[in-house]
Amino acid sequence: MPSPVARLHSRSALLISLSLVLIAASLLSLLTGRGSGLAWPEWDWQTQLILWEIRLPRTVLAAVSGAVLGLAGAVLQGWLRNPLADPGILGVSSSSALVAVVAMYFGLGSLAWSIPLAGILGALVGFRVLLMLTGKESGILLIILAGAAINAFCSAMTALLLNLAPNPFAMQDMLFWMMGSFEHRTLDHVLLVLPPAGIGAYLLLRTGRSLNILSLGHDTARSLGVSTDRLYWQIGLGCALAVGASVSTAGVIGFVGLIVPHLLRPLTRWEPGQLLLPSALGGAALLVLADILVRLMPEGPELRIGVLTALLGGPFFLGLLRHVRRQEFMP
Amino acid sequence: MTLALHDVTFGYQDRTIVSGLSAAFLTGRVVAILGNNGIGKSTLLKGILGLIPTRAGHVMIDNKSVHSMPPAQRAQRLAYLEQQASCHWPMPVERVIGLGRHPYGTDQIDDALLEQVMQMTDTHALAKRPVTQLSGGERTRVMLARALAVDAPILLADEPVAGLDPHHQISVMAQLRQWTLAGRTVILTLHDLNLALHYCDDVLLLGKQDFHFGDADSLLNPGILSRFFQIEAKVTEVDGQLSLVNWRQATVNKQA
Repeated sequence: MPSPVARLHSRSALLISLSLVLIAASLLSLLTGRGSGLAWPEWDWQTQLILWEIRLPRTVLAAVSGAVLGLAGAVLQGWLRNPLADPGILGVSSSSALVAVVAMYFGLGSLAWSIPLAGILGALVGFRVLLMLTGKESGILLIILAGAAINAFCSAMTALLLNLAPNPFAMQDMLFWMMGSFEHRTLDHVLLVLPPAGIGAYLLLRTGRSLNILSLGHDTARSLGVSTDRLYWQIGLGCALAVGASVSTAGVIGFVGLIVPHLLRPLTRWEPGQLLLPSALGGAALLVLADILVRLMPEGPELRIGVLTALLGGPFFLGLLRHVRRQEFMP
Repeated sequence: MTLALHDVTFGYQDRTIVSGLSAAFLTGRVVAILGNNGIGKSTLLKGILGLIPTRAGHVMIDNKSVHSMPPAQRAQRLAYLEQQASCHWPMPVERVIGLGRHPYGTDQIDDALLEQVMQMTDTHALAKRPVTQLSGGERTRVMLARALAVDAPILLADEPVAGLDPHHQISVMAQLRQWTLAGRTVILTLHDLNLALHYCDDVLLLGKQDFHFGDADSLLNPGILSRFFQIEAKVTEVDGQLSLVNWRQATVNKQA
């Protein structure tokens, strides 16, 4: 058996590598401007303004969103023992998007804090509905089905609101917001998002050891002292706060929570608990890099980051599935 | 450490499976729970562990109610091997075994205990292999090693030898017997009546209407076998050990 020290070293190496990638991506993001591309800035007041007011909030929000999406994806895949689970599976991201779109529909979008607050509120309401549908201690199948029902209802309601939009501009605003973007985000957004994202991430990171035990099955995990109903609360509330915070400021960004845990799982000896922190760092780095790519696109309407992650993520995921099939492992 | 069941009743939804059962499992004994398919052997184990609610009665360890213990404390006293236990992710075998230390707030197993449980279950050669790539029998042994790694005073094992080849069936039963010498109790469900006769001190026979609990050698007699299992067999001494021979389906007496 590899000694705990050896295992710690390999895990430390992974965490240090991912942290370095994240730091490098963040620096690169601060140096990258829309239209101007990658450039070393002059240190005048205009540059400082751009860095503090535009690029720093954008970079921080991309990192926070990516981190919570990667983390939530890793937790949900471990908890549901389903490699196709992603942060949207519980319905909290679609309920978050729905309430944010409702706020926009009623013209509250001009207030900087209204959309983030609405989004977080929507995620919490979505979690409450999930609990009502499933009870506090439910089987995996019922939770997935209830999440699918919430997703279907919220998507239909969102489509209805788009359909009934008072004018084409309002519809465009709602539609573009839903595609995901870090454009025009300020430090106020960062301050609004950090507390729920931080609390949610803390709750999710604390589930690691229980997720390892859940690999052995629900009954065995309970026999080993895992409180599965408390875990349900911890994961549901953690996802609602963290994913809700992400959706509320950045819109719906797919594939990050699905792909990042898949990529990193073999590097963590397939242990769900060991995957959490690396997935958070990997998700953060991936979304910061994707946001740089968005800014390096040719002039014109900015490509939405949710569209970019789906465009890159779809084919990548298909390739990954082929690779997994060849490895003879499909849990 | 004595595990006592006081008039316990377990079931699912509107169906009662085990009703009014009382028994005391003494330290250092290997106890086989026997009965036909669907009679409630696994339900009984789950009820003892608190995995399903107790409808009536109490499960006590040394006069303390098992179900009012904090989960970690209960897990330190009762180890459990689930029927057809498996691990969802292809984690290395040695890592899976280490998960048995969870009730003690760690997921690291010390080398001496790991060595002991691997030797008992003959899983040394599998240590580095992904658990999902093992055969059914190999996986059962690994999962038994995981349950032994809890090092609890009482082990509840649901069909620990199901799917094992004859060599490993005998070896596992002998090792479980050895395990009780250090003051532990092993309670397991079985279908092989000869293994129960050869390796178990006591048996708990579950029937549709009633149960019998007592010494294996005296309980496993032709009358009881006919009543509980609808089989006819002779109990005879072979090389100084009682064995069941000449099994056949019974033609009468199906009321058990």
